[in-house]
Amino acid sequence: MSIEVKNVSRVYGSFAALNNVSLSVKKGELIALLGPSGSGKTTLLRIIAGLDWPDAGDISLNGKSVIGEGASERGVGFVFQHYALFKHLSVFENVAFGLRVRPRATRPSNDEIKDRVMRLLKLVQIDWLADRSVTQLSGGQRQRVALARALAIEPEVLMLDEPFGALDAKVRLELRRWMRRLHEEMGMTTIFVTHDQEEAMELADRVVVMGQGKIEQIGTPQQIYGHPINPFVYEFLGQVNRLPCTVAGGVATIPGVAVEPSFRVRQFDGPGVAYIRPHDLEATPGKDDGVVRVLAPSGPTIKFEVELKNGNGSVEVQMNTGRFEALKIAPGMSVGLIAHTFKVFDPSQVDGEANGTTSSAAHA
Amino acid sequence: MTFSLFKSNPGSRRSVIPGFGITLGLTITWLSLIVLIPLAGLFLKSATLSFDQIVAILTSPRTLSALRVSFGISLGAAAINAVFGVIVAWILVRYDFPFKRVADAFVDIPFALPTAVAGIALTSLYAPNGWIGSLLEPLGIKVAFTPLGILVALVFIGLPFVVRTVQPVIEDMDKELEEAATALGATRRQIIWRVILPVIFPSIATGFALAFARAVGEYGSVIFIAGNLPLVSEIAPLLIVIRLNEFAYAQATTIAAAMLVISFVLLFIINLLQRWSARYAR
Repeated sequence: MSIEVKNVSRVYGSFAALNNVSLSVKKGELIALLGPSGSGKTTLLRIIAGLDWPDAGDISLNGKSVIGEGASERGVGFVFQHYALFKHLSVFENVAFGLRVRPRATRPSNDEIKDRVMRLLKLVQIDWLADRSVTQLSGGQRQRVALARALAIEPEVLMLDEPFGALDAKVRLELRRWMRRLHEEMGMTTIFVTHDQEEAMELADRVVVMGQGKIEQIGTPQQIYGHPINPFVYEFLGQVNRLPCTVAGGVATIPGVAVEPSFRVRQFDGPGVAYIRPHDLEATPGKDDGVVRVLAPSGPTIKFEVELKNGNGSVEVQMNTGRFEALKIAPGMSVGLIAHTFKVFDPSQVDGEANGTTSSAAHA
Repeated sequence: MTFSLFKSNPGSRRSVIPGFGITLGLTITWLSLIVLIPLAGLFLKSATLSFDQIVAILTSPRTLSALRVSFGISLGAAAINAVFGVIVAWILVRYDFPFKRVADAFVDIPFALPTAVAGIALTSLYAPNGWIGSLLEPLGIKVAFTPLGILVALVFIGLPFVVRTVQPVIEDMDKELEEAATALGATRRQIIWRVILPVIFPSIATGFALAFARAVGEYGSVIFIAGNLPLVSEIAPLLIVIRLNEFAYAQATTIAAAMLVISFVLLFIINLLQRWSARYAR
């Protein structure tokens, strides 16, 4: 099912949850709505599903406006963040719910319902739990029940609100992979909300980055990560160092950090703020730009802080562990810094001062 | 040897919640003093009568009628409260309206008001010359001094039990459940029957049981409005008091014991129903 969101706004009291948002989703796409809390991503999802109504704008499914229809008529599968399972029903009856409430004319027979529910439970790999009470299930199993229940009505769109938010890290990773496979098998249009950029990047065909009720950027994970269009998206997608710089004729000068000679800044001139990812910085011994302070080894890469000598704070550097060991870098050592690639934004676009590392908003 | 015995069994005497012995002892003592011993006395006193005498008392038309009136009307009043109490609780939780807090406080008044006061107030309202009674009179409906009057009084005193047991459950109910049901295609009516009622049913059953138990034992408000006509509108508690005034103590305790047994059986059934309805939510 294709989805068209046109100029949708939603205001709660004096708080604009959505401000003139437009988005179009193609049939069969897997879309992530990514943003910090309060960015309006869940509101947008609920409005598309018909669980909330916009103050202005229009929603079309398959080219037909559904603004006058409630959730029960839109036929979308919705998976709630906290699952919203019916505790008074067994796992089987939870999944069967959407079939049992159909009008008699379209309601499948009991045998058909049984077949279909068991098939779905098998699909989500919990058919052996059919007769259990949902209160006896673990978080991951509840999530699967919620998913099977949403799929039972054979929706053309599946919507998931923070589907893995309440699960522990290992289960989350497992379910994420499994959901990607499921999407590929079933081919239905899927939209999910998340505040975890890694999750959005790994799962989605396209990522919609939202901030303060507006869509900041829409693109494939590669586009979003490689070419963030503004400081908000840049910062939201991972850790970044912000340093003051000046650009003249495409050549950037960053006090305290050398710039890869072949690197050119496009479409910018004058004073700006350089956004440099930790892994685009490299420390080299034998120079004296800063002092290595804190080390945090994490498997194949190592992260460390370098305190700049020019008083511009500290920057975070992430390097290949092998390279790092070959260079024999140690805490307290003076090093030089080279930036391989980065992006420059106008200082007026940037909130706060342009020094040091900012942590990813995803962890806030 | 002793050492190993201690070691093999270190945790058996310890519990995360200590004090089981003393609290159980206190509970049993307390229950005995307040409930069990007085009730046992009831049966002991009745036992001074012969079996035939007991049967004669219990099968006399007046006793049977009083028991029928008491239990029948109490069940009816509890049923009415179960319906309207749920509606009141629903409105108090789900909607905002002016003076909601005042309305909420009004629900408790039947708890606090001396029941005789309630009885007199209801009687003067529903008597043929009262505000409401005078409106019903032309329609041929008599409330005061009939079994219908007993029903009105018992509904009055039972209302807060249902409202106050159901209200917190509705408050705790996740609105997402209704949204989930909507998204699955359920109509509003289906949501009420298939999602909301099953969740609140155990609390309705509890409220029903409490309202019923309260109504069976009610005396003060009923005797003013009932008219107290033997075989028509005489309740069992009144019959007990009448027997006491006649110094027929064993007769009084026999009727009381019968009420106790019937109440216990009915409450036990309601309890089973309540457990059954909550079987998945445990």
